[in-house]
Amino acid sequence: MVLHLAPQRSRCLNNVIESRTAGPVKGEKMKFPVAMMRVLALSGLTWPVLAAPEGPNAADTAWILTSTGLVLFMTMPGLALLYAGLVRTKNVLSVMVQIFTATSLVSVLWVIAGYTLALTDGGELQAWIGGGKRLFLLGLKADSLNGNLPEVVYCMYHLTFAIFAPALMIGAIVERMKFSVTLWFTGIWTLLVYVPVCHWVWGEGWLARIGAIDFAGGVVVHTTAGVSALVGAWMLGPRRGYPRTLLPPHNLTLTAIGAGILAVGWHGFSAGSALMATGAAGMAMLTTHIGASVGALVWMAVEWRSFGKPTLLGALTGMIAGLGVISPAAGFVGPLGAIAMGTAAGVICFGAIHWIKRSLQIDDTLDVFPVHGVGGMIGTVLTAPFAAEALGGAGITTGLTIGQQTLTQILAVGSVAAWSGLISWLLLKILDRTIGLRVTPDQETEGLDVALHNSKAYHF
Amino acid sequence: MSRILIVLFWLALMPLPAAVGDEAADIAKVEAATCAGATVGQRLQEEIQSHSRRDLGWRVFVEDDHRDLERSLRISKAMEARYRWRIDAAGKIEPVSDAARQLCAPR
Repeated sequence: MVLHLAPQRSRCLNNVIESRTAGPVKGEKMKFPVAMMRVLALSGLTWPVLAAPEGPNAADTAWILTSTGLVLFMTMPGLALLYAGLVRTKNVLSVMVQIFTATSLVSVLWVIAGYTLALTDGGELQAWIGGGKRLFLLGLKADSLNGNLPEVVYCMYHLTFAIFAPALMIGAIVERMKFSVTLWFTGIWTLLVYVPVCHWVWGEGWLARIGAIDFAGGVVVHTTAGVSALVGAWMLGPRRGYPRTLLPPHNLTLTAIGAGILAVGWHGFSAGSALMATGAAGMAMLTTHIGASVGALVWMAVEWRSFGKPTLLGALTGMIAGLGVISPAAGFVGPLGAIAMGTAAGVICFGAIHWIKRSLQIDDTLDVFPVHGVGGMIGTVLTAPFAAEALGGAGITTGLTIGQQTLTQILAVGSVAAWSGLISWLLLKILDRTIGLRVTPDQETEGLDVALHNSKAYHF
Repeated sequence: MSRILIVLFWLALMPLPAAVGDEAADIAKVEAATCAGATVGQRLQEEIQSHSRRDLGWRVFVEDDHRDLERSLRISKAMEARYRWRIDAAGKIEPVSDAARQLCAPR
């Protein structure tokens, strides 16, 4: 008797059951995976042997690997350079070390518990938090799949977002927060704020179930980081001498380089969020670039009109505000929507900076809340009307009307802002009672580079 | 000995061909069903191409008195469009998800 092996593939039976993190709908059970069949031929008789699923999409995988690198580059060193140039010479290294160590800390926490709690099936608690299926990423193998991608690529891509959010917050508390507090706050905030919100919106939690949409992170990244940054700046108190003493940026060339890295890397942030190498990603890339460009131009125009001269910092800030506003909408709106949203960024975020500083008198040092927080919130709400096909958008895919979608977006923004603010406040309150938030006045005067890190950035 | 093992292996797998064949037939039946002037398969293909989505394939969910067939399309990292149809014991096909109903709504 001769055994013949004749592998056959049935494309219509392609299936990715094992890797789907969300799992099947509750109450329904799957019989068995129906996938490629490898048929054993024996004396003219055939029977199927279940083989592995077809595998990931190679083009998508290559693109998301690239996007992962781009988004990581946004933080290290993009954000590090952007922020470093904006502080005084005596605090340059402290900002950089905060961002670099926050990156490392969040990476480890993501592996331990972040990924599983954010993006796996939470069973009975699925509406609120994920489960423990991937604690320490156990069970995650090179050939595990998540839809069209290897799960490890999916995990790593999301990791770069988890890194970016707390790194953004650091901009509000520079030049006066203890390094140990930065680490504690960053780590615990990631687990208590970022991870649950990520699950609510991107892990098929309650916000996703009611139809809230967030393409690349207007709610998950910018609203959480922006609101928490504002709370942190408020609780920490202003820098010594603020607002009477002028505290200008020490090196705007560093800031410009950082902003440029951010802008280019943002294409991984937005276009990569399509999770596909398709025209949808291309459209997200286009709208991102337009949003940033219009934001820069409008901000510059408003500043020129308000203060008589346009500045580099204004153009860069407008560009970043445009990127923040377009983030939740990039894959849902068209070029016209991107122009409108970039304009909103240039006008509203500009006004928000002055409102925070003058009316609320909060020293959000590097304007994290007005640029990222307000930008993310505006963008999230404006996604609904500008996603309309009549305005060149992709249409509202949730089945809601524009009015319903707008209300859902407002609910998402409100609930996430409330959660972020409350948890941040509690966390900082506990840290203040235990180890104290601020450095001493002498340390602040001396500069955190020397006082906390025993180094100087410049030796002139 | 090896021949005995081969035969035993063959016998153990005997039920599979019929079951897999049933599901393949169900999928073909759903794809051929009428949908907004075309077939379900054609409308799904339109959705994939016109909105630049990624086809994640079919999944089959078996219950005692019906089978649900779901086709997923990737929209973004946060969203999948899931189109689900149910085949009851009598072989009748009906959409059970909003996405499936909208797909086949009159245009």
